[in-house]
Amino acid sequence: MTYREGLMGISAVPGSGKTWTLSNLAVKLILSTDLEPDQEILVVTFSNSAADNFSNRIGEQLRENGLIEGFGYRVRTLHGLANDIIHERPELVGLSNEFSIIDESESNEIMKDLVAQAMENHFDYLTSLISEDINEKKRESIIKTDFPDYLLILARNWIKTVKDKQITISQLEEWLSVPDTNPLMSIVLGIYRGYQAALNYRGAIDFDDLIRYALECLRIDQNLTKQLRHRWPFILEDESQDSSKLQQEILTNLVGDNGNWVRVGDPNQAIYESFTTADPNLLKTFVSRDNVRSVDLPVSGRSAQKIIDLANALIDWVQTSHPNYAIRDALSEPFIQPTLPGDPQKNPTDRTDSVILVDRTMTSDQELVYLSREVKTWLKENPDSTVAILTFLNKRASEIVKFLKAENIEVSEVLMKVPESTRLSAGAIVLILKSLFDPLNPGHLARCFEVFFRHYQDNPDLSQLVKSTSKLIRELETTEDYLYPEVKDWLQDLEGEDINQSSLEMLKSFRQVIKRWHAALILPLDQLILVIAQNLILDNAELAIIHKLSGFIKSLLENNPHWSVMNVMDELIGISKNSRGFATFSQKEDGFDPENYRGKVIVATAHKSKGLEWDKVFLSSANNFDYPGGEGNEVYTSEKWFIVDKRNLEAELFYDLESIRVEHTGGIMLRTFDKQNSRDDVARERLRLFYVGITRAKKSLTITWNTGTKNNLHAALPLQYLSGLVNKNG
Amino acid sequence: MGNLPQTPTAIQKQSADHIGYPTLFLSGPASSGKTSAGLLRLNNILTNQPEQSGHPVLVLIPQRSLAQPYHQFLRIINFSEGDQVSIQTMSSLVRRMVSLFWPVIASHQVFRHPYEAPRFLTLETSQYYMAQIVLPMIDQGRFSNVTLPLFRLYSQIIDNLNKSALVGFPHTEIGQRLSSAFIGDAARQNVFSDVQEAVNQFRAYCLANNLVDYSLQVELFCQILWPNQTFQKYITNQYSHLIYDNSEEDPPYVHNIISQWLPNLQSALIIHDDQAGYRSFLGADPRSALSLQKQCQDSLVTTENFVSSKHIQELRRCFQDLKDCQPTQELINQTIGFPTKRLRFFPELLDELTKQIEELRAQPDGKEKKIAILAPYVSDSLRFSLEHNLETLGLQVNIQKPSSPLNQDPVIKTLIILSKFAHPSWEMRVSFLDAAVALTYAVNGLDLNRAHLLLGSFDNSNLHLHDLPEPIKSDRISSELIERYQELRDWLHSTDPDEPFDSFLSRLFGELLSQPGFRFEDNLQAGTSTAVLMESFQKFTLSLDQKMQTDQRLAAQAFIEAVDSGLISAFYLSDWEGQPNDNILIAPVTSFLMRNEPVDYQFWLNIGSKGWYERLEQPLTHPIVLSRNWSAGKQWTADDETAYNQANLQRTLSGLLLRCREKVFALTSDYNESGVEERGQLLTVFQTLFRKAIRGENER
Repeated sequence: MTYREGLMGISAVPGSGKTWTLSNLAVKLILSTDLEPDQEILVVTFSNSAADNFSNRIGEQLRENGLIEGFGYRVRTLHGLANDIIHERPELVGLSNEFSIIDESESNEIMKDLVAQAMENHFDYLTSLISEDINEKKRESIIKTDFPDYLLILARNWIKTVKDKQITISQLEEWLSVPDTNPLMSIVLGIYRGYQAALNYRGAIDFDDLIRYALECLRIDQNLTKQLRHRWPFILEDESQDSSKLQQEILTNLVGDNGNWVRVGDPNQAIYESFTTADPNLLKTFVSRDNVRSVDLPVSGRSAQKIIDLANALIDWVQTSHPNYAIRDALSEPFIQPTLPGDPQKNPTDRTDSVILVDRTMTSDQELVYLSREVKTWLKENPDSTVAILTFLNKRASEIVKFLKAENIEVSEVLMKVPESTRLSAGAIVLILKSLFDPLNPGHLARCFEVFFRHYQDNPDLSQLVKSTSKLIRELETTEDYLYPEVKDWLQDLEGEDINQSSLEMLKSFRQVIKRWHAALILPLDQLILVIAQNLILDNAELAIIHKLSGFIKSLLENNPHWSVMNVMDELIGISKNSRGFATFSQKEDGFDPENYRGKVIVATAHKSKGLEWDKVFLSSANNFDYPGGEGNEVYTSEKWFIVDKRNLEAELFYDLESIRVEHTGGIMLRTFDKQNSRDDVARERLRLFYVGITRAKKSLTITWNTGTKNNLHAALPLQYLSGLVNKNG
Repeated sequence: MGNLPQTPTAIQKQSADHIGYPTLFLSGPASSGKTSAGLLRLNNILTNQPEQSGHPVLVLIPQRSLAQPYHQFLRIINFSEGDQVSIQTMSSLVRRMVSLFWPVIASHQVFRHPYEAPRFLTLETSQYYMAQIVLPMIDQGRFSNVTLPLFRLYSQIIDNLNKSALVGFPHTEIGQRLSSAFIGDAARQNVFSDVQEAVNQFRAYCLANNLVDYSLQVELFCQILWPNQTFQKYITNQYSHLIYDNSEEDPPYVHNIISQWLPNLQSALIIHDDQAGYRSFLGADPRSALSLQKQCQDSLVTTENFVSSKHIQELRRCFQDLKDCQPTQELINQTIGFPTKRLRFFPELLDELTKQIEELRAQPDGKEKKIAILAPYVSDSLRFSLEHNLETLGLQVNIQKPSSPLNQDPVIKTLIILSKFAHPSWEMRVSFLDAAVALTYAVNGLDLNRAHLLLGSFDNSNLHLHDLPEPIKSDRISSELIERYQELRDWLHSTDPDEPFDSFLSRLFGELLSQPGFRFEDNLQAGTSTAVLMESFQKFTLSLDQKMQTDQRLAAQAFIEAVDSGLISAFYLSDWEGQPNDNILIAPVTSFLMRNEPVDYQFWLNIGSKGWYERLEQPLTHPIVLSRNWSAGKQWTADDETAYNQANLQRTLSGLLLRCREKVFALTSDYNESGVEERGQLLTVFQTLFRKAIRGENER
């Protein structure tokens, strides 16, 4: 908080109060710096939820200081910031200011067609990559499904990398025009070319374009850079360990030579660098620069001492004793320190069950039984606590959810794939639209009524009233006698009966709204949804998401001019049923707070748990598949079983790309291809993920593992080590 | 509007004197009585030369909506347009003259088939032909560095072509001009040579096929007709007097023409709004208009303000000189209404707006209050919500729509759907939902539920409105509604499939929908929309080839397909004509400014939006770089963009306040209608003003 100006790098351990520090610093700067009316403190965060969080905290403090909220600061995710920058001068990168941004799911849809085309055009070569040891029937199914799916992932990740390295299509075309280049690279280049053409035609860009185009704008127009430097004289960056080279370069450009930049991050929590140039060493290098003031925030009040000790032991073991030398740099100091006595952020006291490491062998089914039993016991003893079960794969998370539900345990999937609030809003809109499109159906009308009064669901009495009133609608013979009475007026007839007065009032106001929505049916669907949203009482996050939904529908309709309303409905139903992703500027949940889920079990992937904390955490599936150590006998998702010699085609593609890039930019590629390097990269990231999982726990942590579907896995190396340590030292 | 001033100012009297001041340049800000001076002059000319035949007076305006005061004046004095006064835009004059003098043009052998009739292209049909040229280029990998939907790509290339004609430089220079101002790298610059090639091919195609797009109309007029002696003689005989209002909103070629025409006119009044130029994105060039001043024998400047209160004038000065102004809290309170609480989401903003309007109307001062609700963009949902919210307060609204696709107009949508029912041989589909909604829009008193009942088992692949579906319970639909439905069905089914589509539309409106029992009865807006649709169809057919033109069925089908795909747009020029004056106006800012109609109170929505000043950024064209005011070879950077935005914001704020009598209410929510956080400059301007007022108060 003593910061005034210049460059500062803060290494902060989990739970050390990064958000508190940065938001307070932002407020301090707003109050103490003589900002001009057009200047703002820029806070850059990793996720939308963090952006909301910062925004609210800063706003609150400004209000307490008698200032107007919303002025003098801007909180953005890196993608949001890139979007702002491009909108300053979209022409520079061939865009109009009405460009749209497509989400991952839409981008996959485009790529699916291109992959199918590539399979057809390069059938002989591509199928030659499939192992010959596979029987004909299986081979056919691989050609039909597994291989195209794999090719899609290869192409998607390769395109992501190419964009991140800022290599253009024409450069690639030139580089690949020589003989002896990797034929697979030419094929994915073809997919890339088709993909970019499809985006152009839609007037759309993807999230990776957003970053590279923003940087291009800054590089091209120095006047723009100068203006933005003036606008944002201070930049405060959160979670900076996850910034890619390009993202860092955007901020470097905005800061300039004599600018003010505070970067807060934890290299040990860098878990998002796949296929980008994100690298925790970028932050480490920044912090070690001479002109950067380096500060550690090692004190954390989050976890009990035993959990802190476990996390620190992991750092120490990785640095000094991990059997794979190459990855000993995966975790680094500072070690976590508990708060001092008297600190308001007191660490939870140790308990006998603060750390439970289950080293005994369990099959995946046995692990489910164990988790279910333990979570029940925990909730029985700690009914108001927050609990999470973390795992590595989405698929495993779904299995856990299914099992817990069958065991009648209250579970929430809020952090899985599509944020729950999105699902609820899309679902709510679908129910309303169904009723509007089929107004004679009393069942649809009744469900629409329930959605309209959804905000009553937290109050048991009102919720009951909604249900009983909805039942009245459901039993209607003719809906027009309620909505548009002529000879017969259902509502008037009800007034004569013994009906709750509040119920009647609800029916009256609902009728008014339905008539309004009917009148709005003449509008384009995206506009209709905005009209509907204006009449729903929604919380802020839901409202924001409905706005995004409307924008999404607009772009769907623009890109598919012959679609009927029903096609769009299918997409909405897809989102509401969680079968189709719906990304915003970040993949994370908007405004998720574990505190709102006390007494329920949150099931999520460890990746999604970042930035969150629970009283009790179960870190499950800690085996050598999910957390490999870089050993030769392990299974890696990128080394497909059906590919000849289990080659890692992805790693080969990346290596070849890097070689040809180095070669054409005047360098010499010294490193030869070794698939061990990519294994080590995976192992490093998973070690950090393991660390993230451990440090989510406040009072108690349980780590379990299973032998996998083929019953051939063993406990992850760090779990083996930590179990040994705990057994030895108690 | 349209009334002569009762006590004209000295300048207005001088301006009216077409004998004492035969060629006069009158300039000044908006609301300073310039158009009234124009009306006085027109009155003088008509009063002094009542017996003269032909069209002695040409009233030239840049946009049809600006003709209103002149039309109204002629109505007031019972003078029918066409007798001695012609009110026109230059583009309509050009279009008419090119058609009339086609033989003169043909003699220059510009076209491959000069003695065949020309086919005039609309914007939409130009896009159609441009697509034939651009699509093969895209297949060859051209235009790969721009990310644009195709229809925007076509429209931007056409826009370039039009700009070259309006500004007056050869179309072969377009690519080079754009490229030399572009600051990006060479790879991206290549796209401008693609643009140039598309332009060249398009022009060659037009000349080979007798297609006359807007740019060619202007070029043919300026380069062939205007210098032609026969034409000069004709035009001199046609008009003796010129009143040219809002000259700043026209492109340079018009100013060139006027400049050359002046010596041949008996009298001319050229009116120039000093701080306007709102149509610069369409090629308007106020500086070029100003050059006409030198061509006139006299010039006058008016600085009066007949509209704004003293406080609003003071506020306007503050906006113009934000750095040095010292607003008092009293001034702020008197001129600006700002919500007392922070509004997070857009619905909160709408509620606040409704509340403030309610409070304003409830003030017991007995005054009639004319209110305008203004936003940079007025989306369909915003328009719908405002209309409904205000109707619940018992308030009626007049809506000024910007140019938008025809298929987004409810009346037009209804007409199209009913047309499909009347022509099952077109084999066009209508969804059940669309059919039901169209019925509610056509039949008075029919609700959506009963429309569904009437449609019954509707088959969208075989369009046919059934006899009443059985069993229909008579107690579910009144006999009156059934009767109207049957009337509609019988009328549609009796349609002659070979009847020209515009004639069908005219009958559908006149014989059926405007009759008692149907929704278009006494509905001025519906009449306007029907006329727009008919006019659009007529223009569309003119650009079709001979075969299509003669086959009514093919022409109508092609037109409806184009409307359904959102390709065809329309300007709604006379939306407000005839609408009650005390209704609340809802309009996009630029449309309101171009209407030139002051109000007492203005509500500015979404003041955080950049739309208050930002131009539409288009990667393939650039209104400023292609204007006369851009130095050749200079690069366009963010500093130019900022300077442009600031000037534009100044111009907009000044224009709005010059059209405001009492007070401005400024509203913003953290997230706009689309859920996007907005932090535009106008918000900063207000914030600065408030801070200054508070600081000043504290110091005092």
